[in-house]
Amino acid sequence: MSDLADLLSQLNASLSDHIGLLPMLLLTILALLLLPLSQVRSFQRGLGVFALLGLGVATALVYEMFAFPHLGFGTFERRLDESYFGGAMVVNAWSLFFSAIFLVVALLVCLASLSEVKRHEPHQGEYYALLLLATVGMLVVASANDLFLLFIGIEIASVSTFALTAWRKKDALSSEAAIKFFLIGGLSAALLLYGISWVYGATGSVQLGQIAAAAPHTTHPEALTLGALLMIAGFGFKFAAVPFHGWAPDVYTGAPTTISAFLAAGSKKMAVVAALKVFVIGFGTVAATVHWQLIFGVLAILTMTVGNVVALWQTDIKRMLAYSSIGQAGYILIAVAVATPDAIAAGLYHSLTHALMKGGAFLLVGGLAAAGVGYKIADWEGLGRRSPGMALAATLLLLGLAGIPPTGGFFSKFFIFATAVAAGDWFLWLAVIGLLNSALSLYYYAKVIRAIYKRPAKAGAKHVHVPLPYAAAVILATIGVLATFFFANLGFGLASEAAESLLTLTSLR
Amino acid sequence: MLEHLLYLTWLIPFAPFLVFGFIYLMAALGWNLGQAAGHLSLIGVGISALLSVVIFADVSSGVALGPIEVVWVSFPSSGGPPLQYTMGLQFDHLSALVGMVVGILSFLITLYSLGYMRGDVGLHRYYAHISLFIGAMLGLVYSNNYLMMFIMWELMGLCSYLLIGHYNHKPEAAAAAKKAFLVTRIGDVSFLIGLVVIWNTFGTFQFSAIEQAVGGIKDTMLLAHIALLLFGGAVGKSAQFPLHVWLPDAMEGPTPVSALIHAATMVKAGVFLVARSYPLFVHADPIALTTVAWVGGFTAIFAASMALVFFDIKRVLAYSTLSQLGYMFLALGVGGYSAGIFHLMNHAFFKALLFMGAGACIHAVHSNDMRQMGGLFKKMRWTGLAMLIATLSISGLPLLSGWWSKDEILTDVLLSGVWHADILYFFGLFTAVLTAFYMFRLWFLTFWGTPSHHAEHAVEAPPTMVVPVVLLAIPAALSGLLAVYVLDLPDFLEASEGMAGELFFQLGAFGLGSVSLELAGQALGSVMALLGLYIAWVMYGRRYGKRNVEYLKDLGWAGVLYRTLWNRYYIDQLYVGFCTMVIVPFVRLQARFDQGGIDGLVNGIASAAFALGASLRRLQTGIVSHYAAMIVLGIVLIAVVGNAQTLAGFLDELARQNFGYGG
Repeated sequence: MSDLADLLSQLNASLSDHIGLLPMLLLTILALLLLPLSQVRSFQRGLGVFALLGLGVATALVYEMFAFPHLGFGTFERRLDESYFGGAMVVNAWSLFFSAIFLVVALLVCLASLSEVKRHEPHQGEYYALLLLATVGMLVVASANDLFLLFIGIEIASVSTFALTAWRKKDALSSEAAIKFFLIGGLSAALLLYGISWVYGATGSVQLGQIAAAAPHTTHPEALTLGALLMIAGFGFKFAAVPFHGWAPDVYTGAPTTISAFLAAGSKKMAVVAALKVFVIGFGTVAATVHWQLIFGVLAILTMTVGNVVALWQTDIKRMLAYSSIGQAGYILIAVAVATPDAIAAGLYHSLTHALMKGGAFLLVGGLAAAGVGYKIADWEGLGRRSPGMALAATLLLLGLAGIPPTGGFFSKFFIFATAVAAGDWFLWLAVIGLLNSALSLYYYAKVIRAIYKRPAKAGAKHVHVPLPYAAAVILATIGVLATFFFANLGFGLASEAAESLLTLTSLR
Repeated sequence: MLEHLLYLTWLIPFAPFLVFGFIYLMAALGWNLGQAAGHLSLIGVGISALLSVVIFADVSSGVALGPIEVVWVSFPSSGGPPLQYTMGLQFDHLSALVGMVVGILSFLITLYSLGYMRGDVGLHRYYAHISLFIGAMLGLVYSNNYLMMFIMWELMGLCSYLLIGHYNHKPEAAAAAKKAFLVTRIGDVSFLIGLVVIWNTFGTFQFSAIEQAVGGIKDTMLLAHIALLLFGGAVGKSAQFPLHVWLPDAMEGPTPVSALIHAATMVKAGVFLVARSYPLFVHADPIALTTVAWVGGFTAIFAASMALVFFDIKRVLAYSTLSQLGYMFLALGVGGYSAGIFHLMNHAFFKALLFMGAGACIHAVHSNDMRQMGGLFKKMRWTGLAMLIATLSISGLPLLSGWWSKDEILTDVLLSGVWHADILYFFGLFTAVLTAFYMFRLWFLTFWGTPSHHAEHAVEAPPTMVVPVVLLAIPAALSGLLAVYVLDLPDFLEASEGMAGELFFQLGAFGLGSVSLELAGQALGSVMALLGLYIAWVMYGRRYGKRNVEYLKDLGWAGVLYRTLWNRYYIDQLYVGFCTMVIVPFVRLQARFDQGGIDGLVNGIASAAFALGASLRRLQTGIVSHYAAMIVLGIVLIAVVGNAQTLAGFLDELARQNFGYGG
């Protein structure tokens, strides 16, 4: 008995030492539980709800840590701004902000999955387990403070999403998308790891604070530069930054729509975390010699322009959203290039609003597809009459992506441009090109809105009934898009807090 | 009562806003709420009205309800404090008083709508827009900064447009809505430019901050520009000359809308704006207040003259509203800050009553034409009596509410040192005669004499309509007395603003004040009202139907005058002529330039973008090895970008070594 009590108290002590990691731990255990549970035939429908509940609890935990940083939690002691595993992981406002984005996206996707994953489909357990594991990977990236851990987090998320893309393995398009995703993903992972090894070679450390300290004194600056280039290429893949974007349109189009939403809204933001962390912290001291800001600036211009210009041509909404997603990543890259605390906060805020808008938009496409509406823009004609509620949500989400009030997209894009202008210098041009791109992008968003409110081509087209889980996810996302407008100051304040806390990481050794 | 629950006050604008959102949401989900929407609106407006009354009780008993504010958005600006836009409510004496009047009237008129609008096909639309309007009006009254005020101002403009055009199957209604929207837009632009100048001058939109800073600004012409730009907005919203043309046409809307928006509340927003901006006007060059006084005084007599000849009951009331709004601006312009607000309050009560009563008559005889009414007093005693009280009140019969405020205005004009106050005083006095005349003409034509055959089967309106009308008769008669003896209104308002006293001093310094003159002036005002009443009695009361102003039509010069009035001084025609002769050709010219030049440029850029897209699109081959190749090329690209300096140096060196020149 005393052994057991001992063990329990040890466990308790160990848990309370790692309280900040509880959401990851919880989701991992849940994912592992889902696999055996899925073998229980009568529990098939419960799997999604189970995963949803888990994500809900994890979100609540993150909220609790963010909102009440000074409150004790149960028997555990609060551990915020605390580093774990010898500084390899840090839980602070920064990691919690991104954790919240990832978890909200995962929640919406999981909710919509309740109807996307049909009753009779095989491998439901794997679907939800992989979804949770991908989320865990993203949470790891959010709090990693170490290049290896960063790499591991990215890979957990990537490998899970490769499999998720191929989840409908009988579907040729889905399998093709997955194999492309996997091949390019493999190449990029290799590049990233290779870059990490060069950086390690140059600085003798993989921990960001130590890299920052050692980088200016390295005897091999060219090794550092090479490492940085290779890492940018690796992150560029996750970011779908041009020219590392080739996989994205094919994968977003081929994957199950819920997974497209997850990739575009969630896992893309992982690259924002990683890039900002590695370069602002690790390479912050050598910005003058490595020129990573210039590189990100050029990538931002390329990414915005290619994404928006090619989106003009798309007739398939999923593909249009894929290119729009590339364009939006370009705006966030502006913030990465400018890299002042305000700009970082703006980039963070755009990550949040984009997650809601793009997630909502993809889920809306999925929901309408589930209700029998096609993927072509022409299929959406007359939606204003056939489903007024969804049409309104679609309008708001698309206006948000175009950056028009009353949506959060307006403020977040505005903040990005405003902070770029405030930073002065050549960053001004990033804002100018971003503005031109915004104007361009309005064309293809407005095209869809116009189709929605056009009279239906066929007289007497039936009313569209979007399945409830999908509709709920879309409505929640739309409310979020409106809330990020009306409570912009609150959201931007949180983003600023997160950006501030990123900069304190420099002092961690 | 509210000092510890201050955040509840956000419900004042938001309770109606939520009702609006809910009705629209239900409509979007395919659920037409119909009459239930009316009950919902009534609840929403009821909450706001209740809160506005509580706020008034608190403020008037001396409880300080501090302003509540939220920072809506703040973002970093280059080298300076962050730019901040705050949304906030402030509860001083001005907003508490006007807010209470608006709250109570909104509630009563929404109640009245339940009866008047019953059976309409677009009920959900109607109540959604009414709720949105009420929320916006209250938001405007309580807002503590110009930006929020402007947002609410524009929202009201939108609601006004939607509600005037509520009967959208009627082409006149659609045209009137468009006219109202376009004409007020002219004022809105002026207001907006004023806001920009305010921001540039003061760096804030907060009233309190501006009030503090305004004394330190020595450039009085700059302040006069700001003040006049704001006044431009007020001229549009409050339909003063020369932007008065939209209000009579706005009577195409449902009658409760006319009562609420186009008589009691929205058109007062312009007066309220000037009152809110009074510190600016006071410190500005005197040209600002002089303009306000003259525009107001002129509109008062000008609009009253047009009210003499029309037979459409709502149109007569509309011209009367214009004229009374002119009185309010006249008061503000000559420094009678409290007199202007006093008249605003009194007028809101009796004019709302008059419109609602007119609506009851229209409801009974199914026509707006007073010639088809007549003798209604026997059929509709409650309505007739209430309307009589309001008519007496607006005419300025002693001790009724209109008398108090009108006399105060005339006295203030007399005492002020404004440019040619004597002419303005004459305008005011003569308007009083005209007012009493046209109002009693209206009352006699409608309620007196023998019923026309349309009116024979008229019956009293349902209780939801009569009860608000009768209830309103109480403040319509007594608000003046109560305000002076219970509230001590001039002190109440001036104490809160802390600038009116200063102002009186400023203007009085070159005024010609004397007590005996004041008394004589008051007596004269009442005599004028009685004179108007007497003429109306002779022409329409004693010998009903025998004499009419339209007999003037055939009488030489009087006929010319009559036709001028009937054609509204040809101003509408003038505007139409101006538009077709000047604006339309100019716009055509611009269109040609736009289509040829601008559109060509835009199309050129667009097709360039499309062409770029078409070629970039080919990169998306769908072949994985191409994507991998792109990644490798990408690494080369960023390597070049990242080492551009080194490369440039290297090339430089190369050039120097080989060709002997360079950096």
